Amino acid sequence: MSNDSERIRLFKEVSQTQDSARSFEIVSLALAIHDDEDRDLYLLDAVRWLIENGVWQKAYGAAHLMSESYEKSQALREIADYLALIGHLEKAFSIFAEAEKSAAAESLAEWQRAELLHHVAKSLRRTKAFFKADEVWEKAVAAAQKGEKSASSQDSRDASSVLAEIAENFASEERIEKALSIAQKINDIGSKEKVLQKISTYSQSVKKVA
Amino acid sequence: MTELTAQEKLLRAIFGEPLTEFAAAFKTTLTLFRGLNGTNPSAFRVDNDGLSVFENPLPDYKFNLPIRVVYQGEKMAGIVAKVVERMLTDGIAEYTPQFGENHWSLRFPGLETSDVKDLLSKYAKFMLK
Repeated sequence: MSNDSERIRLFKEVSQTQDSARSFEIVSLALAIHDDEDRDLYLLDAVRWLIENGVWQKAYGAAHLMSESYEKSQALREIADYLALIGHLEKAFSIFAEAEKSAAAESLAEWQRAELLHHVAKSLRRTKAFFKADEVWEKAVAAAQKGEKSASSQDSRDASSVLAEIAENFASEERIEKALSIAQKINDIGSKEKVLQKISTYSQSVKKVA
Repeated sequence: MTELTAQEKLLRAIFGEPLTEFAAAFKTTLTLFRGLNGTNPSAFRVDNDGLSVFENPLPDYKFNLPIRVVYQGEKMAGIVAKVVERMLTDGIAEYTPQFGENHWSLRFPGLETSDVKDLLSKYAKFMLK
């Protein structure tokens, strides 16, 4: 633990710099952290640092040093977002697909899978990959609906919360019918009522504009 | 209306008469729990209502993160408790049984969702590791 603390201190020190020549050092420090969760967390930070310093190939390599975790899917999506931004669309789509695959990690709760897939779908939509985005959203909704059936009231409630977020996102894109079809099936009454109210507000503003 | 003495208040409380002013005078400390399988920020689902926490430890999780809160008065839907953990001093918890039995919504007014997740993750790592 104390060794990890020292590595984390050094990691933070290096991450303050913008020197891409220290890429190897920053990834090595993160990778040397013994605690599995902390290692993934700092590798995610290393990925972000590498993207900021314009070395996405190294970021991609660092992402593959992570365990099958929430953070790995997040890291891959952020690399793909960057590639889409700079116009490397083909590579971006291939990494979005990897992020989607990583979201299925066994260690994750259904609400976490749904949340990750929702973020991948939002990124795909921003990249104008509309059909693929909807395909990923279908998977996100299915994962969240499965999560609602969990025996744990906490997991079930969290899954409803993700569904409400997805429904609200559709409403914000003026896809009211799609939003309603998801919202009306939400198990958690509190979440369902709140999101239906929000959809109604979006719907009214759409009508006003029309 | 004549004000009740402390003794009268106590007797009425013991014999179960509704006595709002009696309950209002007392603070109750409660430990709320978040079931966790990990301690990174991604383990916390924070939405506009806050983070789901419960009055009882949850089975089937690797950890149960305890968060102590204090509220004053009768416990009823909508009552707001103050978090008394030193690392989480700006937190509040609202009793929200509409989201499930013994459910409270933990919030940190003024903090962005990502900052709330980071704060909770730091607290979880401190408490559980």
